[in-house]
Amino acid sequence: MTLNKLTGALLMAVASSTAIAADINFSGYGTIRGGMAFDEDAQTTNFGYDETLDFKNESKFAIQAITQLNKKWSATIVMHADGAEDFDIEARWAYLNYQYTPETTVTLGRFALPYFRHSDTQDIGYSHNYSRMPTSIYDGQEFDLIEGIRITHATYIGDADLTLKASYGSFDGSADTSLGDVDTEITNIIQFSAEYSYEWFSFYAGVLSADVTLDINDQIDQQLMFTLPGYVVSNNTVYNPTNAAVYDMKEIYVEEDSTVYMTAGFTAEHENWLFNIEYAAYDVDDTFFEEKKAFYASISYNFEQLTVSIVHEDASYSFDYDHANSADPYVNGFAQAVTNAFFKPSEYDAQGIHLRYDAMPGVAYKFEYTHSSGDFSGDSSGIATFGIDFVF
Amino acid sequence: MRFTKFLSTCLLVTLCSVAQAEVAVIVHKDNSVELSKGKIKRVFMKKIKSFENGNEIHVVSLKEGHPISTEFNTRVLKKTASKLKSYWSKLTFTGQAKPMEYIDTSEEMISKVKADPNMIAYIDANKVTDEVRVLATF
Repeated sequence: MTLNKLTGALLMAVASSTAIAADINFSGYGTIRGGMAFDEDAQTTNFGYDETLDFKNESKFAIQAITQLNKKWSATIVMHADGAEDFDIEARWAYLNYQYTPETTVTLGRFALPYFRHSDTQDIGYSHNYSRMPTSIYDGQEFDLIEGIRITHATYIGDADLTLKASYGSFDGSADTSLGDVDTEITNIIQFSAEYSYEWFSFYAGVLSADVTLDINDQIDQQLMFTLPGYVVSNNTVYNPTNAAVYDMKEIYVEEDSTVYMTAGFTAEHENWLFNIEYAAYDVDDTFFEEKKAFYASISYNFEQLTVSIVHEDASYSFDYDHANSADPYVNGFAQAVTNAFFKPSEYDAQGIHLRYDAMPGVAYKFEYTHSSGDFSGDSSGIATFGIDFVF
Repeated sequence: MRFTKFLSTCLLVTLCSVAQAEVAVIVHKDNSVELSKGKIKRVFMKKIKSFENGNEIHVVSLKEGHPISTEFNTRVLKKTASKLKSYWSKLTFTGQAKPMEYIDTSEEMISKVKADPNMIAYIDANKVTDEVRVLATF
């Protein structure tokens, strides 16, 4: 079922309940945030800001409508408008929930895919203490959706709580890359995660595997022939100027190649202190991708309505260039350059201080200063942001 | 001056009575469930979702800002209203829990609990009647 059909079906399910409008529960969340970077030319992340004060980059607004179709089934749709996308409204999530037992729920439709611990709540600024979830891990939205099925089981063991999630499905859309928006297809997504919480601490572990296809083959072929005059790419094979086959482009292409994400997290909360750490590692095999390793750690202290958080985050890649295995050194140089162009600029570390002031239930003011350093360029920059996160 | 003193005394008495207000967690009269105080907290955080007989627990809360709600959040859930709202936003925007039902008064709460054998709620302990069963007081 395509997304449009799915969304339409769910909208009809919700709309068919308009006669009993009291049974539709509306809620929502949003962020209005302004910010600017101090050096827009620095070769490091500026989290989407430049030297002009900007109120669109991280602002967003969403409305959720839930209707209980009967005792077991409910339909949910979340309409989301993102400032970075000119506030074009889209049905971000649209799903049916079937409550098999109070502890076990089956979800069908389009919903957030928990690649990482907070993937499904990263847009809800009010739900966390940061101005944004650290982008070393939470670096994109395109891949954070799935069209498929999820089973969630929540139970307890003595005084501890355990939540298990398993998902299966696919994603078809576009992803923002250094080559621009690229058509992306992710199939056979299989995901498991477990979260264990006991009094003052909790652990999270997750694994996800999938097959990935990016529609970039033609662009890479053209780039190779432009960069290496006399070389020709034909039927996925590179021929050198003497017409000898020297490389199989499938070593670079991202065509139904398998990816595996491994993530883990730990949270400790004691009195006014909150410590949080999360780690993720993932790769796409047999492509120009390199393994990414990312983490962040934060420590927060709560003074009544004010919460101060110090965050350190780091994103790096392995750069072992396994795919650069041609007998031709020029082709290997090109293969490495493709990887470098995509991933070298993305290596960075950053340190930030985030202030959250709970003005009233449902409204939090946030202020942030973050300093980032690009590993490859050695450049550094800072951003300052302020904003309001709210839920209703 | 005398009026100011009178006002201050009234305010103090009001504050003290709110601070000392006891909260009663109640269930239907026919519900014989026993829950420790720790488990009651987890029920209201929607971590425990069914009674031991398998029936789904229907959790209701007094409206935000109600003095007894504030007492309950502080003493039992150990969270401020803002922290609780933040916690709920994680659950309700991810389909992990149905939105919480809020009730205006303890009297209305008793009527709701009387009508639902699987409901659990909390009210001002001074408002408890023999129409409901008290599971615990805080």
